[in-house]
Amino acid sequence: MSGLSLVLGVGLAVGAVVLVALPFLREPVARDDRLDAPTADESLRLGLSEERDRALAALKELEFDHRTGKVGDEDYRELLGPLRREAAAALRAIDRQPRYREGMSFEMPEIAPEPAPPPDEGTPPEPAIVPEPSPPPDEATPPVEPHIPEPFPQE
Amino acid sequence: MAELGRAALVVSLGLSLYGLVAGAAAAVQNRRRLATSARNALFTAFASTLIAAAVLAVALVRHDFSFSYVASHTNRTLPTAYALSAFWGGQEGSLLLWLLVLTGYGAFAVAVNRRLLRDLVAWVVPVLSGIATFFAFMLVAVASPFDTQTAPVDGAGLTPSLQNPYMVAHPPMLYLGYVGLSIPFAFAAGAMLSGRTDERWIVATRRWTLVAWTFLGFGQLLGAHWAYMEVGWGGYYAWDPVENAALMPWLAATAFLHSVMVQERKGMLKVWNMVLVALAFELSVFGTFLTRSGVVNSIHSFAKSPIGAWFLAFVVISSLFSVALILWRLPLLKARTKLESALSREALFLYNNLLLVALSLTILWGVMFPILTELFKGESRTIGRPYYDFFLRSFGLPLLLLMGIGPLIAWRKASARQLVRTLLWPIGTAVVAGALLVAAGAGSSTPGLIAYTFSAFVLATIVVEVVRGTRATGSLAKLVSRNRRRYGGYIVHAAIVLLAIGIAGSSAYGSSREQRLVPGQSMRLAGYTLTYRRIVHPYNPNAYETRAVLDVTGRWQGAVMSGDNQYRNPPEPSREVGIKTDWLRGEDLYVIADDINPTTGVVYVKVLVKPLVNLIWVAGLVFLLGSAVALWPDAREQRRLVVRLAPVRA
Amino acid sequence: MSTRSPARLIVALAVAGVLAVFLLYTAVDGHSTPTLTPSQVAAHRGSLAIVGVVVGPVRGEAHSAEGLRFGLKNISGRSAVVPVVYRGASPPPLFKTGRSVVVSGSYSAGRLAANDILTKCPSKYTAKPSTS
Repeated sequence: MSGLSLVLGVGLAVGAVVLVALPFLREPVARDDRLDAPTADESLRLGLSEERDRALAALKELEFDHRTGKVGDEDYRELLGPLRREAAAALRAIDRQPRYREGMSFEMPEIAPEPAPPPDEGTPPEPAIVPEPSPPPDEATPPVEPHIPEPFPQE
Repeated sequence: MAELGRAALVVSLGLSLYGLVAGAAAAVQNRRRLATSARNALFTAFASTLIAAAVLAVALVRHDFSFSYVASHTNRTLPTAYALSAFWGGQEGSLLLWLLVLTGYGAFAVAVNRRLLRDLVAWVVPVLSGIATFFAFMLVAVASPFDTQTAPVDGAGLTPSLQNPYMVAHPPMLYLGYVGLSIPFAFAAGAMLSGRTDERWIVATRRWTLVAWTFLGFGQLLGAHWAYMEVGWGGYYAWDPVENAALMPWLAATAFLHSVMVQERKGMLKVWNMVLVALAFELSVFGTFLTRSGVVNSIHSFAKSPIGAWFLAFVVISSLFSVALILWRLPLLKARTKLESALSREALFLYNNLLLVALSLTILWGVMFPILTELFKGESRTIGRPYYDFFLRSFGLPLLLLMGIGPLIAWRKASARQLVRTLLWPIGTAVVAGALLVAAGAGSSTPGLIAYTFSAFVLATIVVEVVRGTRATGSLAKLVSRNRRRYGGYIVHAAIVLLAIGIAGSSAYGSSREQRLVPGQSMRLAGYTLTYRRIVHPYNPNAYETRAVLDVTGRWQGAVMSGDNQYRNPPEPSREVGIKTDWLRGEDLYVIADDINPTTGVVYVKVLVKPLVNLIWVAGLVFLLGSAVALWPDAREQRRLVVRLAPVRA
Repeated sequence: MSTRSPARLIVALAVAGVLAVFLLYTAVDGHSTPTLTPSQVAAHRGSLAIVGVVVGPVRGEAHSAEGLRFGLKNISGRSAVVPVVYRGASPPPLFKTGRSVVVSGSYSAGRLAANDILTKCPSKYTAKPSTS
């Protein structure tokens, strides 16, 4: 058995060395050896898209909570405005990023004025057009507000 | 073949060390090829550890007693399945299992994330390799499974009580849990080391944490079930240090699972989450230190072993590393938003976290007390069961209540009036349930009554959630399918409620009686009358079985047997209890027949009635279901995340 | 929009609360038992536990009036043998001379009147407690 163990052992060691050296064997001279770290631009965009997703998800969740009675009418009206402002701000911040291209077409699609389905973890966040049970909130919605574009393509 | 095993472990050690050093260098100096090389080292370390594991497994199955490990944990008559399970039955083998799972998980996590999270993974590789280096070093230098000897004719065999399907599954499941907690830890450390402020590490490790947590939780239930049936003292959890070793990281991981939700949604609790994930990881390694080192008196401990010192050193060094890392990156971990109201879902998550961590730490104190008193006072003092029961009640009951309120309270700021309105039905249900329970006699135990009432409350809140959600979405299937994590979580909450009811019922409302019986004599307990008839010796090829037969009348009609087995190979006795389960009432009649005297026929019988204890085991299944739902992959969400994370340049 | 965050206050109060409960509880000293080796036991009285190795001869019956009688000595190193009288349920199946055990009871006049035995299995995975 010892002979076999020896052969297998040596084979293992050699294989290990080869696999570890592989990147250097494949590219003895690398033009670009930099690690693909996100650039400052990309980091910023990533942070902004996380913020946008958070804001839109919060809007959807608020609407759903209101529909299921966790949030009362008064609280709903109070919380809706600031959330919408946050979402709009996040979207605007992303738009200002150069070369922003998450597969989005360059025309802003029209928003279908229908009640948004309840928030779920699966679909991309959708415009928070919600049926208002009472007059729209007082807090001045930003002029650009109603045209929150669809940030992701529908599949 | 043992030389191959040893060589494979040396290769694993070398590769892990390379992964640590080269990986760290590559990440610091931004070198792509070196980073890939380090990553390959991690993958190859898994392969070589797998080879070592295969060598041990084959030796176990072939009863190769030239391996000291095989000789001390198996014998020729052992069935193959149990021979294989001896892999993790001893110190060295279980360390090998740990390394195998670690490198396996690590390789998988890194492979899956290597494209989308390149910079993060560049740091994850050295962290995981560092942990692997420690375990590989232990296996090569301190506790090798491949020590050889002149093969004895037959091995020592496996303790009969371990020859049991539960004991085959229990350790690997726990390890899949313990070791799994290294992955979120490594990614969290990676996030801090790479200096990023985004939440990618949370999203990437969400599933890992959930899987590890599920295995750890279910593994503990398996252990409890085995203890209930096999060890036979009438209980399922003894607050033994080794049991606590698994419970503490599980509680920390539960807290972590909840607070990452807050970080994802609100950008809060960033520092807290880093501390929590490090705590969960350290507790899991500390737990295994307790189990192995023999430093605390426990029925489970492996022999007092030098391995303890090494593990302690590793825990200390990795804790210092985590603390230093968090302190260094403190400026990056500033919260985006603040807690606005003490009455909001964020606040409730915070309370939940505080209670869970407090419970975990009080258990830790209880476990450490003997060691600390020995160090500082010269003599050791052990903390008994009442301490643990007290704190389990003090922290567990409020946690139960929070489980009900949390899902129904709004984010940011909830008005008390709205909350009461939402909770009206559940509160009403709880009050009615409480009244009915008192009428049924549950008032005999105040904590028990509180537990039951709170449980009714939580179940009612889950029903309210589901009903309202279904109404808003249109169909239950659509509701669950679109919110898998949330509704999976609700199912898990229901499992915890069942667990609470089962624990409350069997401890607060159970009863027991001991009596000396001669043939023909009866004893009565809680509506059962047991009459001792005779002694029998059922046939068993591996053991001499002695059983006292008792006829039962009253709440249940039938016969129950209990006694002991005298095994032949290895020659060891074991206690065999008789359990009769009434599935309709969920209660168990638990009979322990002791000291059976074959000449006089005298037997000492202890009978326990344990109401609702079977809900605990049912809870385990519901727990699995909830986790499965929460883990169910969601194609749309996956796509969205890929789009979000894909680099802009093609 | 946020006023002073209550988070810090909550955490502080919570920590204080837990500490208070905890100190209150452990101040009630009756919940920890000294766990001693046979050589340390001489100076003590009352409720305690002894960790040691079972020394024969093991005589008597746990269920009888005179109880199960055996001795305990230090697991490592030399020590005097502490006599033990155990009354209660049968000791766990793995109890025998040469095994490491933890025996709890009441110690006075150089003898331990025991009511609980916990066996440890040094090289295997687990062992059994007495029915307690």
